[in-house]
Amino acid sequence: MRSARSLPVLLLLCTAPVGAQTVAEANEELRSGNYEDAERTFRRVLREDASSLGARRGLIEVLATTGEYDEAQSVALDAPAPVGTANALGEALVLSGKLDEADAAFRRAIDGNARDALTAEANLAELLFNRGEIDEAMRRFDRFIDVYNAADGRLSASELVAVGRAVSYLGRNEPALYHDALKAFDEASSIDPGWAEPLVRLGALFLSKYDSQSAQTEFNKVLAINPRHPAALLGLAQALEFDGAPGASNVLNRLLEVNPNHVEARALLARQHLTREGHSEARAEAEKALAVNPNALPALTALAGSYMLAGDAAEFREIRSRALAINPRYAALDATLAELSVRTRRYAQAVIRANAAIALDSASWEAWGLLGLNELRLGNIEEGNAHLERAFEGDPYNPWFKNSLDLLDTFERFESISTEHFELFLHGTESDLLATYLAPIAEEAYDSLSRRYGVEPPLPVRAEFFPSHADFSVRTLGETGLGALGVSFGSVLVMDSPGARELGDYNWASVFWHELAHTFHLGMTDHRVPRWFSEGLAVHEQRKARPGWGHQPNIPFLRALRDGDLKKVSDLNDGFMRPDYPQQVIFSYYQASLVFQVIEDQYGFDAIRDMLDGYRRGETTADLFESVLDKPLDEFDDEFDDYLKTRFRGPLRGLVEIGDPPSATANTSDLENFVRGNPGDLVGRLRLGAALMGEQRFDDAKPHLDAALRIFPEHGGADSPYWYLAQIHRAEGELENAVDALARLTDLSESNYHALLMQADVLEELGRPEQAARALDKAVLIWPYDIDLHLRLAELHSQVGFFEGAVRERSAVVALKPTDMAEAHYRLAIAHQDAGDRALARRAVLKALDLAPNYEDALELLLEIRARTSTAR
Amino acid sequence: MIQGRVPGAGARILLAALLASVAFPLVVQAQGKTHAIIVVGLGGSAHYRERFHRQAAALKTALTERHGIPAEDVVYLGERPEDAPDVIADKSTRANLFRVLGEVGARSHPTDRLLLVLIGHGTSDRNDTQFNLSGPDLTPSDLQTALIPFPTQTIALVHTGSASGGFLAPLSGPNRIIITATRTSRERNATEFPEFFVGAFTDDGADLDHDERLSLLEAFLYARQEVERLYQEQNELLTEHALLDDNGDGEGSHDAGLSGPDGLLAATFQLGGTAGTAAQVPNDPELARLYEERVEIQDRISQLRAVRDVMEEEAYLADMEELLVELALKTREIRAIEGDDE
Repeated sequence: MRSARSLPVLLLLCTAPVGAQTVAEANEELRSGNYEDAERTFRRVLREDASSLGARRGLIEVLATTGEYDEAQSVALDAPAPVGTANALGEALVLSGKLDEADAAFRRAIDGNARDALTAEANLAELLFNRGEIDEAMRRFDRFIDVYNAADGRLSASELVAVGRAVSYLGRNEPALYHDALKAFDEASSIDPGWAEPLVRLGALFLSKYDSQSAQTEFNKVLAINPRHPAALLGLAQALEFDGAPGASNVLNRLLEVNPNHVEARALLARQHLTREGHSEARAEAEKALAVNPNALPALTALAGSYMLAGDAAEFREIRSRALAINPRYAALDATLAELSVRTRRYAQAVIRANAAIALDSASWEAWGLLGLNELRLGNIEEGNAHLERAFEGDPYNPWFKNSLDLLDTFERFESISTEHFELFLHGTESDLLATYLAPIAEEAYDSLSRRYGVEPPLPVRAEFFPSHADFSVRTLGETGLGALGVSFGSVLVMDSPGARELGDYNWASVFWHELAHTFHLGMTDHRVPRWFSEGLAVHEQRKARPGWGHQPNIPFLRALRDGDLKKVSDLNDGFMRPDYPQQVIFSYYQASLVFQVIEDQYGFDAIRDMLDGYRRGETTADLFESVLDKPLDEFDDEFDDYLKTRFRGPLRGLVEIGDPPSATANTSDLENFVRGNPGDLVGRLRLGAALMGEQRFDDAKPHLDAALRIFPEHGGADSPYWYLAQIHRAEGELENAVDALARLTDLSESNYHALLMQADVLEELGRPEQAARALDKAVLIWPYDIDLHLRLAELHSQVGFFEGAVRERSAVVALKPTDMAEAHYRLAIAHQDAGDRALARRAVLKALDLAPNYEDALELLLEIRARTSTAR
Repeated sequence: MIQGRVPGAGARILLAALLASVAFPLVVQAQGKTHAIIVVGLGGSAHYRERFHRQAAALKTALTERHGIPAEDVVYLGERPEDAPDVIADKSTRANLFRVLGEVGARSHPTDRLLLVLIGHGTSDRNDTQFNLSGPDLTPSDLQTALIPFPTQTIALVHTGSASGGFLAPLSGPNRIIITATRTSRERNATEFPEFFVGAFTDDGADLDHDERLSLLEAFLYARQEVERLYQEQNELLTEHALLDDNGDGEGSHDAGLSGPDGLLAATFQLGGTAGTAAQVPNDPELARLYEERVEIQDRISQLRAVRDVMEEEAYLADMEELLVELALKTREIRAIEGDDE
């Protein structure tokens, strides 16, 4: 029985051709990424049987996959029956940029009715499309619908992939067809589940429709079978790049190990370099790609981008012309460069490039969208809206377009308020309140910065405040999830309104000052200032504006300094654009700000202005350190490192790891033991001080808090010893000491609302209403929504005879729409009268009486105002 | 205490009230007695039991001591009468509520008014919404039946609890003011509304037109706004959206007000306030004349306000100012005489 049952297998082995069996095995090796074994096997089969079409095609595929394009072409050309390999030859020719020859090869496959003629048809149409013959290409793609419908389910997996590709192109005019493309790829995958191609195509389709997660799922399915699959690796890298997630470079490097001639991988690397303003590295990658394929449009795009960003207009034009000579309707170059312009904060340039893209291809929805989004960033709201509408009509899958359009629909609920230099765009629910405080701060900032920099940016500056952080994020990026508080597009600033944040984590006035500083930097440099320079300088300006504003040193920063985890000045742009770890961005802000403190202290502010001028002329950071500071950048790196270590010598010593620090759950006694053994340990002192405070052991806590301050006197965070000491002093009736501690604390932190309120309380207790009012004035810049705060401020201002201040606060109360509006107007009327403005007093009291005609106090006030007015006459 | 600021009844006053109803209620309508019934439901926990009782007791005190409703016309049905027998008339069961409504209805005049305030938890399921009581819960259809003894009277039902929105549409009707703490029966979180609604009666801040009387519209606006402020201060999502319906269409308004569609009837449902415990005509004929003249000025103010939308802002304010000056001077005259009397 046993021998009888095994007989058919033996027969099968004997009857199957040896070559076919080996080709099948080689194909398996190819599919699993064993390219070297697959190549050897295919070659062996071909040596034995040169007519084996399967082996020849397999070998061509291996060679093309691993970047041996010339060899792939020769193997194809060596075929005894050229029609059978014509399509494969065409594909290899495309990869090395021999487009005319590729065109001819595809046509040979089609005309010769090769087995893969339908794939050749898709390849030819795609080639035509990529050479600008869009109408002809679309006609050819259109035929695939008939092919699919006529086949009635009899198409092979490769034919279905061809259909899916064609239908994807048709989707640009009929977006619903993307679903049919998806279906075709799905069907192909179910017919041949082990074949990577449909999955890769599916992934690419998902990614093109902004579904990165689904795309990654498909690419990862392929990579689970073949971790070396170049197209899947490229797709994964693109998806990671799309998400802004780390790891894209690693994936690309894995890809280039498999295929060092992968042009798209090099082009993507080049674009990555460009986004972090590494122009020369980008150029080098692009040149490597062009050496493989001189007609590689993505590489030419990256190369053109490098010249554009470097300000080399002549070279840029030449490279762009080269690309357009290959494809006269290649809108992707300008669209990509528009996107790149956005990433490097050149929004006007983005508009120019988007318009150029549309001029080449009016169906470039991406370009319409980029045009619209960047017009919005430039403050051209109506045009931006119209162009976004058009973009969304063409690409209804695009979430950025939709989010932005949805947000624009809400703009009717905002109000525009003009000041001398600003157009304040504020939500109707808080416009009166915010304008009261924002307008004077805005003008003060403008005045200060324009005097410092000696220039004026294009006016008016439009400042938009959004009460929803999600809306601010959409306004900035077209999507939610932005971590920032404000953004400057130049003469348009977009910010969270204070209500968009938690109380205590945002000083809107300070952030406004920061963003306005960017407006000056961008204007002075024609938007060429590198990110690190502008961010650091903007923080420096915040600190110049008010004590405590801007980033401050903290323990995590000091640890990063201690551990060598900060960027050198020469690499500081990467700290913002390509941080090694998320917190590095925050550290970079503070670190960069110190660079400007050093420069201003040592070289004067003129040096900073000269450097900004240099950026406008296209000079690099290294050039400017040499020419303006007369210091090579690497030398400055070393000096700045010394500066940091000297400046923070004390706290750094307090952060030296000595033995095992107490665990997070250590109790007071453990902490006391630790501190006894390590009296210079900053964190130990801080923790012990806080623990003792928690136990109300004020006298015991005090020496540890004092010791922590001796080690790190600039510690103004939430666990600052000043905060604890202020509470101890207050509890013990040492009000002067409490006020001192609170003053130090609020000079080290821009958003400690509760410290400011306590400071005001203690100052009032000490009988210093003027100083108390100043503390509350600062609190309003953190959280302006507390009616009681404004009432208290109004009283304080009145008490000291600062009636304009009282008017402002009473106006704020009215703006906050308290339940009793009549009384709010009445009190405002009194404040106006006290300030000597009878016209406004009359108006306010009439508003009170309009709401409550029988309000007797208001009626009396009205009579009084009229009596005084007539007396004055 | 300022006495006798409301003029006597008469055709003129009625006219004034009608005018006020389209503009702003400067004077009280010719109204009968106000009967108030406060019903506290099951607390479910000591925390809520104490809270609800505190609110109900405070409301009862305010209605009698600040707003001039005689103590015998305010009935408080509570969860545990034994805990406060001086304040709570009886246990808050459905049967007791029916009985009390029947008794009050029987002794009410056609122009009297009923204020029924529910303080407690509401719940809802797929079929119905209930106010939780000892024994059977109270449903909107129960109340519909129980309110039959009030065919002509103005009825104000204030359901301050969770899921109260479900009571609005079924009980809406002509001459009825329905206030609910929530928009629908699906807003089921415990509400903050009763704290502020009661606060409107116990504190001074809700007299938004400063006429020293409190209307149900003012109480609603005050409570609604304070609830919103509380949620905003706590940085929490608002989970209760109070509604007021008084035009009988079964659609409540969150933004009720004098410009409608809801709010006009509630504006006329006024409680005397500190000055109005005995709306008397002054005995002094000179004072009575001055009151009448003041009402006439108030009428003209109402008429001016009625045409505000068709006037230029400056012209409106100028005309208004002249009327307000007249009013102010007239009020001075009244105060001078009243001051002399004191």
